[in-house]
Amino acid sequence: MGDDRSENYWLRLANRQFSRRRLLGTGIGGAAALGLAACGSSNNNKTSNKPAASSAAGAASPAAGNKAPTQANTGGQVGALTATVVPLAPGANAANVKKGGTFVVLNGGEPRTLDPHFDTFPFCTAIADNVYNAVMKFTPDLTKITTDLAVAMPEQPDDKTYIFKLQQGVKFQDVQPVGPREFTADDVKYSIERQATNDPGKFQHGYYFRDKLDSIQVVDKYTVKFVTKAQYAPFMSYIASPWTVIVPHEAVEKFGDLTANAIGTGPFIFDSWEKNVQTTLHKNPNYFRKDAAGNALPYVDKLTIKYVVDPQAQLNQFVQGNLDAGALQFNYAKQASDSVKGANSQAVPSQFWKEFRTQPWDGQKYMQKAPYTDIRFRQALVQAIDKQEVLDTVYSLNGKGDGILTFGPILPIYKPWALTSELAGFDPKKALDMLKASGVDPNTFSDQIIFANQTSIDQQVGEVILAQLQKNLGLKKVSLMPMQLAEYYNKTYAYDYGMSHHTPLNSPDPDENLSSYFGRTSTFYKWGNTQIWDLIDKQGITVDPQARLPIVQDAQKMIVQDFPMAFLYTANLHLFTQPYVKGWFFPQDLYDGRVETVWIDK
Amino acid sequence: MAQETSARPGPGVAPLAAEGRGVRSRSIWLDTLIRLVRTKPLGLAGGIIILALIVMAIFAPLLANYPPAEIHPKFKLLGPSGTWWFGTDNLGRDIYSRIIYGARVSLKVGFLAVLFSIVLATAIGVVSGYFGGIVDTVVQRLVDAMIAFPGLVLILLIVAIWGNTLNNVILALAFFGIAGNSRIMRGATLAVRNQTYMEAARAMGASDLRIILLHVLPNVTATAITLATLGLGTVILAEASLGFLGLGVPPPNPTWGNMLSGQARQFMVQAPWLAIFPGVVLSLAIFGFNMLGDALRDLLDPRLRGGR
Amino acid sequence: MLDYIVRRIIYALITVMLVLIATFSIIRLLPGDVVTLMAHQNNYAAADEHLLRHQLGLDKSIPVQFKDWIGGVLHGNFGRSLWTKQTVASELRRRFPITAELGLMAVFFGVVLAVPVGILSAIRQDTLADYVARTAAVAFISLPSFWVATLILTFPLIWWKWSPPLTYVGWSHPFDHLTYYLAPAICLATTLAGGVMRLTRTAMLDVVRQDYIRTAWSKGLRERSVLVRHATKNAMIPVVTIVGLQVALIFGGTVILEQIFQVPGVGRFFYDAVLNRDYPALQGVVFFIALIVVATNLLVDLAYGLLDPRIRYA
Repeated sequence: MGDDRSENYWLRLANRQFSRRRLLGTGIGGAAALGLAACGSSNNNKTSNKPAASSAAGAASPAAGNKAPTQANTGGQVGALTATVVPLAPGANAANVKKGGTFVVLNGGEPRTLDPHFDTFPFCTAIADNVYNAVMKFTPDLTKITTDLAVAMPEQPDDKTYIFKLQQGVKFQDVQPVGPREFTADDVKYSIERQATNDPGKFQHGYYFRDKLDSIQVVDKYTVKFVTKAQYAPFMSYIASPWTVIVPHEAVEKFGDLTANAIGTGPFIFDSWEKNVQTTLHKNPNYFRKDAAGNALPYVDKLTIKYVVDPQAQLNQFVQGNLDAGALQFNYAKQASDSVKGANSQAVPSQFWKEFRTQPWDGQKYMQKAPYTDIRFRQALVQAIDKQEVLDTVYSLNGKGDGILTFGPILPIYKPWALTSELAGFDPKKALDMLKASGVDPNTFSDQIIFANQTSIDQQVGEVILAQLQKNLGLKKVSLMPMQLAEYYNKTYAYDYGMSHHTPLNSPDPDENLSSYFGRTSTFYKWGNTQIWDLIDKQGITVDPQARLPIVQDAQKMIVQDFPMAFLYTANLHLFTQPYVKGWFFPQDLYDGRVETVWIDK
Repeated sequence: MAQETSARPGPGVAPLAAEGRGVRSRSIWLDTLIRLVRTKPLGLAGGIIILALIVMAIFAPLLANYPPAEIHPKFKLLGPSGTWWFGTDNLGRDIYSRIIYGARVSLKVGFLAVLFSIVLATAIGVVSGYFGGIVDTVVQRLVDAMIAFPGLVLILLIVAIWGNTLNNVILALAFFGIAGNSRIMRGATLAVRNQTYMEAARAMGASDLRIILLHVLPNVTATAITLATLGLGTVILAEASLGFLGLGVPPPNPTWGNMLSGQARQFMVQAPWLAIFPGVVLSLAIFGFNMLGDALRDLLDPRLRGGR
Repeated sequence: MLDYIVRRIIYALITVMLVLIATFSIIRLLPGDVVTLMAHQNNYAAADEHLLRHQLGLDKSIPVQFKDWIGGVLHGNFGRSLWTKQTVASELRRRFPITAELGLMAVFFGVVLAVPVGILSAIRQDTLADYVARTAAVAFISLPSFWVATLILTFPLIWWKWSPPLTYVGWSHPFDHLTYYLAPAICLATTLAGGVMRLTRTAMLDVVRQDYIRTAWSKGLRERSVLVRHATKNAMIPVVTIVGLQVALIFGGTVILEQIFQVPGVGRFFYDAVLNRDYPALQGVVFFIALIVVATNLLVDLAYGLLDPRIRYA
């Protein structure tokens, strides 16, 4: 009963051999960018060096194709423990836990607001993940969905109904105007409805549930029932999203929005936000989750999130011991490991990845313009780009690229959904043939490649791509147009450009990666191919993962071979913690900023 | 700001003015040049450096070894060697060639920006200084208002909002020194205006325009040139700052400034030559402009001439 | 004297007026409809666009808008940030002392470094000492400030595992507080020092040739007393003026340095406002900066009047 078909497929996922390492999260790190909503921020953390031996974190070496890190096995235990018990990170030993201290985490930029429904930048989830809980959440390695405020996986009497039994006795943090009152099913209903607001554009991920839910019923104080209008395959992923956290209505009613206030049920209570300096939080003494030995969580007394924008300054702060954990830019990684003896580090592929886009269109409001209308021209562009060369050139010190290539709009870190073979890769001869066939004159075709110029790395990527287009296609009049982020957004969301290179965020659920870019009601990009729309719609209502997989694969193949974009690569993040940091899960870029299991061993 | 003419002495005008323009002016310039060579070694050094940079810019295609935007990924981050005289950057581009071509862009941007700046500053300063009275008061208040917006702040606004194309960068940089320079040109105009020969010209019935064109301008030209030389150094530096903020000349055009900011900082430890060479050239350029400007000012201001 | 003071104050007020107009216009000169731009960027719902328009006062006519803007400013209301929803005034109140402190320290270092060198260079004009001094000065100003900052951050870390403190510390820890400012102040000072040095030199050269100095010489006064008593004091007049002008340079310099050294000051705020296209905040902060510059220049003018009798009675 209650089977979690989701649980099964994720379990299947976990049991497969995979070479991904842990992803580090919550924008911890070097991204000097203000990450785009789900379009991700530029992440520029890579190193070609092997990370230093890291005992505490169960080091997984970054070489491709090695065994599953121990974490997955620990993760696999989740189902066996009770809902409130949190597994410890590998290398952590319950007997050695030390309580107290302050844990200082690096963020490479500041959130725009504290509202988890509004601002979905990683810099916001770093805080939101620690102040709030969601009904479900992903394990730190993104392989499984596990419980957070729910007691168990939902019961599903049919494909469209999800009944969650909630934890009893969970109290909101003792902060006015919410006060220490109990969390109930009403809160879940309120919060999801808030997020699914009908005001389009108001909340970044309103599309998760807007118009998808038939009803949310509060069955009793601790039971909430969702009924979707039709089969909705990504439902569980969206419920477990770090943005679908549960917020209290008193706070919204009192403050109007949650821009500057954060009160939830989570492990840390928000204290203050010193702009351009840091955000401080302190331990929630009544946090409902405990570790396997029954110790209350979190272990540390205080959590400080420090904002350091400059990559050099990030390194300095880490080496000096002013930062306990964070991601550093790849060229500083070696210096960090050398300078801090015993520092733990991991290199993990990021969720933020790179794509080269051609002109967006939807055939209704946004029309496609020549020469992008000609699929041969698009193919020429896409296949003139040597992704391996971009990776090797920009993200390495010695020519060995620090990251992994992707063959479609879903990253290889999300097996089994990702495409495993290249259908539109680098082929200069083909590209040139296609260019000739399309009749576009390389000497006169002129356009700009726009991009958000956050760091030097973005610029270098642009320069390499430009050089490749010039060399392989002879396009003489193509130029680069670096823009500031706000200005770039403007163009991007007006769908007003011919070419661009972009750093979106890739999410665990295929629906998120497909429908919001290539689907019927996409927002981050637009592609007017109705056959693709249909396939994407279809996978969205196919709940059974076995049946869904081939549809997802077909959709991707169709997308790739329509040449809207060149799907390039994801680069590695280099995550570091000081030697005295224990219990650290090396969470995702975005998906898990929660640091409830960390302790400081000094 | 009150009369600050004493802070920035104007050029010596008596000899020039008394003789009028024409043949004599040319010999004044020649005379200055000779004195420069003889008595101002630093200025001379500066002048030679500038000349070398200009030559570098003009003959870039002949002097460079590779096209500046050509990437050679297999040869990235190599140190200086026989093939790559100044080493390569993270994309395998030849730094030496980029520096040579960088002269083109840096100098072009610099010269154009300073040209606009000085022309406008001269126009404002001369009009303000010559006509005096209400015109002067009003114009000076406008200039005060312009000065109130700090250079980088104004430039950032202009470029960030109108986009960082090459032309916008040049325009923004031009704005940089207009206000301050116009003050100085005004001072120089005031110095000229009070000369006796000016009264004579007016008494003879010459129109204002004629006086300005024939008498005032030639005599303030020296100041303008001094300001231009000094301004070039500032503008080239300002472009570097813009490059650091990602708002400078768009890639892949190399300028010494933007070569210093992105990759150079990133790979400072692994590949210091990324920064050393552009840094040295940048410093040399600014040194050159400043020393030359200083020397010109020393030479052309009669009050400073003639030592102790 | 009074006449002079009154005149300068009136001029300053006129300038402020012009600055108000300029700041107001800049925002409205932006390409495209500002509100749509903002709404788009900040993901405001269609309904909120009206709110935004109202908040910015853009639904009224231009003269009324301007009147409101001035009215607001006179009451200390510099607008409200779109992002943080905080008032610009509260942000500035917090940040201005920080940047001001940084600026003052930079000016201090700059002057301490530059003025003696400038004087030396002047009195030993065209000698080796002069050349060395001037070369060093130009060497200073030819390095962009972010470069000096990079050097300070990179190499001590490698050689000695030392880095200047990068976390803002308040006055509660006075020593840490001051050392926090040292590195960025020195970087900023190098930018200022070069210009100040050369100006001091010019001013000194100018003064040293004056008749009254020659009189002092011929009276047989010792060099030092001549210098200190007469020349230096008078040369300081234009130097004071120039230092006043440096205020503008400081604001420019801090934009970059505050990024690198993690200083939560006005420069950062301005830059973030530009980056985020936070127009209300941008308007407020630009006006504030301009106001400070005008005020400083006014003070300098008044000081100038005090120091130089010729000005007073001009």
